[in-house]
Amino acid sequence: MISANSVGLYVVPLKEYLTVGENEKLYTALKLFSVSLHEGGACKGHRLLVVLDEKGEPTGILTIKSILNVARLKILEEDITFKAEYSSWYYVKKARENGGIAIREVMRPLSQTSIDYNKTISEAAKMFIRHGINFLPVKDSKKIIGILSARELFYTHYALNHFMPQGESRESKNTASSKLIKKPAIIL
Amino acid sequence: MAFILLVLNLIIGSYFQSPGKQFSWKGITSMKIRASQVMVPIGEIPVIHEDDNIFTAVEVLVREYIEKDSKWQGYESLLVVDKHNQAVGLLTLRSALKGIGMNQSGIPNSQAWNIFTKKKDYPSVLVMNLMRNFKRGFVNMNDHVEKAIRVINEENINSVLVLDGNNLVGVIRAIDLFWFIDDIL
Repeated sequence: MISANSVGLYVVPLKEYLTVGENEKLYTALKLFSVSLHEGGACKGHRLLVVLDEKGEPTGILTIKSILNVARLKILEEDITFKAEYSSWYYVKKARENGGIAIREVMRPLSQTSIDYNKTISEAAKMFIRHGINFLPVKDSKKIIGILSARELFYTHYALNHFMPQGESRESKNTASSKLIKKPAIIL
Repeated sequence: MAFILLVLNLIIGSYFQSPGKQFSWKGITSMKIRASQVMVPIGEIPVIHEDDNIFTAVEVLVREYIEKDSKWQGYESLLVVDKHNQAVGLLTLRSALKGIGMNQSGIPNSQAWNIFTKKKDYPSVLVMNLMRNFKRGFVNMNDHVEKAIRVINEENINSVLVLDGNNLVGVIRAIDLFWFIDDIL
């Protein structure tokens, strides 16, 4: 039995995401990512790919942030200070020279951070904040069954109850939509 | 001399060029896009006051999302202003999630979710308590998009602020940068 506040109610099953093989090159993933983004309408799709191993088992996720991180390492190749402190630039550089970066090198492994499907969304929200992530793999026992997105958690919860107290209708509130705010003078 | 430079250019170009990509050398791509060309102008970002309660902010966030037809153009953050109408922070989706995850002293209930479901019990949670303040995550409007990519990753944030001098002129979201990755890689 899934309670109204449990992660299981908000999880998107793995099968709803596009998948890519972990040995594929990043360029393949970029193309698939664009397809995923536009599924169901312009940029209405998922902002995530599920990565599969050779047996078709899910092993990781690829997000915009993980792709941006590869771009960052590429940019930092010429930063001597960075080279002195980190070895990953060299790894990525070599991978690229060998015909492109494999997705397994840049994905976020499913084993890294996950949450049980019967945990509360309050606990999930804390994990999003603590780890600075936007997607959280959800497991049932030890098996990953889907992905919880911070974005979908927020909007789905609103769609379900409008964040309203019991007994109070949405129309009775002085909602933000009736509140016009003057555009500010923006000086920091 | 011109011939030698041309030959050098071809050699270096072929060494650093990715398959099927434009000429790229040392991270300098043929498309030098500036932050100002990618950003969402600040005038388009919905505004909220720092002393508004979090529920008002949530409604503005959702309203903006719905009004944009759930497209990526829908803004998932609000510009926070103080009583002098000066910008002081951003209320991001992640900031709002803090409300969901909030379970700290001063909030007399371990069921933190109540912060969003029993408003009358928690009237004091204000936008200023949850917003991301303007102490980090900047680029200049003339910086290249590569700088924005670095800042997003190094600060572990989903959007960077764009400045013209001391003036805030825009916001760049991670999704806005995705379209330039192909050129950078």
